Amino acid sequence: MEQIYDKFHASVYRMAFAYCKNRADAEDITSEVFLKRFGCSKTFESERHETAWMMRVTINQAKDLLRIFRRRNEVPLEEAALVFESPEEHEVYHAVMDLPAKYRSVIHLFYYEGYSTAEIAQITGRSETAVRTQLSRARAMLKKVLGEEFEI
Amino acid sequence: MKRIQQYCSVTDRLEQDPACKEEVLKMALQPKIHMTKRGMITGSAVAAALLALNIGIGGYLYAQNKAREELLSAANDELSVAEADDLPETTAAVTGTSLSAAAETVRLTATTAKTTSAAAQSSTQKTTKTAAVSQTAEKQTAEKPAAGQTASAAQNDAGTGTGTSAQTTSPAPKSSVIEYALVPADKPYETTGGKSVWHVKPGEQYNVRLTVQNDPGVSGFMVEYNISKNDLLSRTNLQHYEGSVHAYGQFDAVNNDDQILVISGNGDGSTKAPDGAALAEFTLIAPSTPGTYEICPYSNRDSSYVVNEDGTTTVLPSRASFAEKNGEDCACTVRGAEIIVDADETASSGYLVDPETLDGPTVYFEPVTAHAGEKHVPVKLRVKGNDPFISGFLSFDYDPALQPLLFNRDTMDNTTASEDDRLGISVEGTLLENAPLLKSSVSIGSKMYVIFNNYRSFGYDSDGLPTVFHNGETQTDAVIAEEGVLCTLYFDMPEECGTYRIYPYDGQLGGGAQDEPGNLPDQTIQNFIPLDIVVIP
Repeated sequence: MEQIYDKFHASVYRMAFAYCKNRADAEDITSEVFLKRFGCSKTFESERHETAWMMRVTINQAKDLLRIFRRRNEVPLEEAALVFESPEEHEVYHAVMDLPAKYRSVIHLFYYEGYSTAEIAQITGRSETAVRTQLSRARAMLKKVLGEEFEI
Repeated sequence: MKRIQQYCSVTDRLEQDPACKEEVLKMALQPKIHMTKRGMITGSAVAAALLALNIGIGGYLYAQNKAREELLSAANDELSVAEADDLPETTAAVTGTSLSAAAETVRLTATTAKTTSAAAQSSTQKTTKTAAVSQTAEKQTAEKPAAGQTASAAQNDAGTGTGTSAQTTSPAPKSSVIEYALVPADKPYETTGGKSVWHVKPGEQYNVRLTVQNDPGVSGFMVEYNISKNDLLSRTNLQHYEGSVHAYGQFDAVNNDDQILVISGNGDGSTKAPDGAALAEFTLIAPSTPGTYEICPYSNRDSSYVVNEDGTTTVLPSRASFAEKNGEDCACTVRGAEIIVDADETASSGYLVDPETLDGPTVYFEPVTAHAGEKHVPVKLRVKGNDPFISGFLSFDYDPALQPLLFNRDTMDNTTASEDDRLGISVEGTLLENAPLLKSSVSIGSKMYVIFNNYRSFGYDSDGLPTVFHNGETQTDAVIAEEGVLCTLYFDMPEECGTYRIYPYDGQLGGGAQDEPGNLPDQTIQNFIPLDIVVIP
C-alpha cells in the first residue's frame, strides 16, 4: 500500500488541487481516492492504466465533493499552497485556475500529465471530440487572458 | 520559457502535507468509523444501516442484470462495474441508526431503470436503487428493501407512492421528507410506482413542472434528471417561478445521446413553498413514435466508499439531487416521469408543432420523408415571424445515425457554386438572386453550427486567391426582409427505418456588423421546432 501511495499520491493530489484549488479539499479527495484504491481488487493492465483509473476516480471524487458542499461559487485559489518563482508563473497559474473546472482538468491532464485526448476522453467520460473542443476553448481563453498562446 | 512550462513548474512544486500519508495508511489498515476533515463519516456500521435505510424516492431496489452491466461497461467506468458487483442484496431490517451530531449526511444514489421506445431504438436498462438519510432519528423512515426485485421496466418506489414498496419497520412522518416531482402542467396524470405517468400524442408540445411537497423552507436545492434528448427534449422555455423559492434550470449534455436536466434554486431558509408549488416549468415535444419514455432521476457514476471491518468495501452510491436548509441537509425524494406516447390515427401535417400557432421569430424544418440509405437528402430550414436581418447563427443537435454533408469552405465559390450549395431566402420557392451567404457548418459529435451572413461572404477570385465578397455597397443592401427557407442542410440517411430527430436549440438572427452602417438590431429566436425525419424502406 505504501508503494502504491508513493507512486501516485503526487499526481492524485495535484489533479485534486487543480479541481478544488485548496489544500484541505485536495487532501480529503486524495484520502478518499487511495482508500478506494486500497480496497479495490482490480487488476490493471499497466501502470498507465492504473494512473488513468486513479485520475478518473480523483475527478469523480472532486465533482462529488463540490456537489456535497454546494460550492456554487468558485473557491478562491489558496495561494499559500503554491510557490511562484516569477510574476509570469503567478500569472499563468492563475489564468489556468480561473478557467472553468472542466477546462482546468483537461489542460492539467493534457499538458501536465501528458495524456492524449483519447485517454482524457476515457478518464473524464466524455467523447474525444468534446475533449478536443474543451482543449481548444481553454487555449483560446488562456490566450485572451495571457495575451499569447499557451503553448509558446 | 513556454507558458505551459511555467504552469507545470508551479504544479511540480505543489506538495501534499506528509502527515496525510500516515493518516491514509492508518485508515486503510484499520477500517472503523472514521471521519475525514470534512466530517464525512464512513465505516461498516454506518454502511450497513445506510444500505438498509430506505428513505425518500422509494424502495431499495437492487438487481444485477446484464443490461445494467452493459450500460456501465458502455460508460467505460470499470470502477463502477467492479463496485456494483460488490453491492450486496440485503433484506436487513432497518433501524434508525443514529449518527453523531458531527456526521455529514450521506445520500445514496439512484440508478434508474430506464427503457426506451422499442420502435426505433434499442432499449437500455438501468437498475434503480435509491435511498436518502437524514441526520436525526425523527427524520429517518425505514422501509425493508425489496430484495430480488428486478427492473424489467422502470420502477421507482416512492417513499410515499404506490408500487412495490418495501415493508416499513420505523415509519417516519411523511411530512418530514421533501418531495420533488415532475408533473404535466395541463394534463391529468397518475402517480404509479413512484413516478408521474401521463399520456401524450405523437409530436405534442406541452409543459412540465417541477413541483414540491413538504417544503420546510429550504435555502437551496438541486434536482437532476436524465432525459434522452432524441426522445423528449425541447430546450424551450425553462422558466422559473416566483415564490419562496426561485428556481432556474439548464440542460447539460452528458454525451451524444443523453441530457441532464438540472433544476436548482435558492430560498430564504424560512419561507415554505406551499404543497404543489411549481418551482420550474419547461416545454417538451413528444416523440413521433408511440411508446413509453422516461425521465429518470440522475445519479453520479462514482460514489462514496466505506471500508468494512472484514476489509471488504461497500459502495454507497450517491444521488445528485439534494436540498438544504440553513446549511443542514434535508431528506428529499425525487420523482421522475413515465410518458406514454399513444398511437394517433389522425393524419399528421408532418410538423411536430404547427409553426403557424407560434408567434415571434420561429425556426423550423419542412417535413422530410426519405428512404433508408438515401444520400444527400435536403432538409430545408425555415424561419418565420422575424424582422429583417442580415446575418445569424444556428445550433442543432441531431440523431447520430444521420450523417451530415458538411460544406467545404475552401472550395466555396460564389461564381461557380450551384444553387443547392448556397444559402438563400426562398419565398414560395424562389431563391433571391445575388444573395450569396457565408456558409459554414461544423459538426462536432452530433452537434452542428451554421453561421450565415448575407453581406460579407468569402470565396476565391479567378486567380484562386481568397477574397471577400460583399453583397452590395453597404449592409443596407444585404438586408433579408422576407420569411422563408433560411438554408438547406443535407444528410445521409441511416440504413434502418424509423424516425430520426434534428432539433435546433440555439440561435440568433443578427443585424450584421455593429461597427458598420446599416446594421440592424439582433433578434432572439423564440421558438425552435424539431424535425423528425421519417425513414422508410
